[in-house]
Amino acid sequence: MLEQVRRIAADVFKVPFETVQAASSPDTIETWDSLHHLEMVLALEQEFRTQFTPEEIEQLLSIELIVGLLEEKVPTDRVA
Amino acid sequence: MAVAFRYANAYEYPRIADFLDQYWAKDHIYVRDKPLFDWTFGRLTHWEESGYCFALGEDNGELVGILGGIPFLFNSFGKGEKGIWIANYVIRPDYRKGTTALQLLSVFRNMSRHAVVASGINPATSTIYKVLRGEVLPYIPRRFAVFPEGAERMVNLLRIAYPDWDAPRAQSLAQGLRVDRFGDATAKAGDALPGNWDKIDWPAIAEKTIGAARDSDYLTWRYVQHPRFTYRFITIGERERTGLLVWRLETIKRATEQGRVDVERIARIVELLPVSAENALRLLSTGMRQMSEAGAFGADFYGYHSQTNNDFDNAGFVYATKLADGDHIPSRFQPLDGKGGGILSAMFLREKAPAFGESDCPWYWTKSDSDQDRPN
Repeated sequence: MLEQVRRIAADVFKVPFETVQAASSPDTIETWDSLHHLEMVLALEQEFRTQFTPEEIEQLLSIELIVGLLEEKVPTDRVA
Repeated sequence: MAVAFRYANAYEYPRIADFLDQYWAKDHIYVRDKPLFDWTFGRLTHWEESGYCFALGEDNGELVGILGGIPFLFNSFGKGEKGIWIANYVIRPDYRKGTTALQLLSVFRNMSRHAVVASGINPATSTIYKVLRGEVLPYIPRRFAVFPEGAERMVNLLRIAYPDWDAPRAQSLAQGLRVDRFGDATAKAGDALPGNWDKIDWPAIAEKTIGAARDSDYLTWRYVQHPRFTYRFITIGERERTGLLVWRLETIKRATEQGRVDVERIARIVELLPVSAENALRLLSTGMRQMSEAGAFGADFYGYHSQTNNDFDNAGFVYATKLADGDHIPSRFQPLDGKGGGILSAMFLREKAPAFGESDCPWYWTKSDSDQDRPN
């Protein structure tokens, strides 16, 4: 799942895949602003066929936080 | 960064104005015109707090984000609910990372409001509303009419807005919008809201429509008390009821090296609330004559409501989008630009509501909703 999330984040933020790590956050990725954050949320929802609540969306502030929440929400058969 | 959120106090206009000036638009109308700002964001009869209807995000007392709100009564087929239009959504650049913008929006979304509506949004920001399960609406349909003697004036206007257009292209669009002649205008017309509007007329309209309530409180605030624009009412009776049309005359200005120069005059129709199709025709016929006599070469109207749009079509107005260059018809006239006139909106509703289709659309929502019809 971490790899999938890193790939989505790299696509949305338009940065090399290698630069997106578990600890990556808006502080470490220059293009991670609020609009790109929401575009990433849309991409994650589509990829994992899930939906985040507004409260969850506000908390998704690092790759590892995203992975942690997805692991709680998404059945394992939806993970590539 | 620990951003705290609250509503603005009545004495905080200078801070908000400075922020708008610095991060929204230099010398914005709300920076230059405090009475307009007060009128827009200080409608306290519909606001539970004592200060402005304006959300602020602060970090250590420093302003990092603002979001204005205009409270209104939301009508859903005769049932009144609380609604709010949001406007001037600005985050300081160094706080655009992370979720400050989302949290600021939540200040209004978390209130007990049936409808939170953003009208005139930038298409690039529509993602915000989609992700938060809001509905991004189709562009508001625009009706346009060029009066019988106004075609050449429309051609001139188009060629100023689009210097690369040749004459046949501008003429084709102007002719496509032209009304051949004004209809009958012998009905006796008034110029003020009837005293029994809330008792007889508005309830009859309310039960068939959804959108911001057009009761006398709203119409008076929106049009009679507007601090800058002079709106004109036309009323025509039919049996015990009264139909209403509201419009204003706008002078179109062109930006030149010497400053802004007047180039044309157009009528902006912002309400059409008739009793019947015949009553609508009378209102529009009377209105178009008045508008022409006031110097307008034509008129436009933005609205979703299907029956209202049919009434405009019956009077000779044209759905702009249906013409090849219709979406290029200028809409911003202070100064005139060639960017067309689309109004994109999004909203959050607590309950499911009818869709915004071109036929049978019960949403009564015009350009004057929110702060879309204001000086700039």
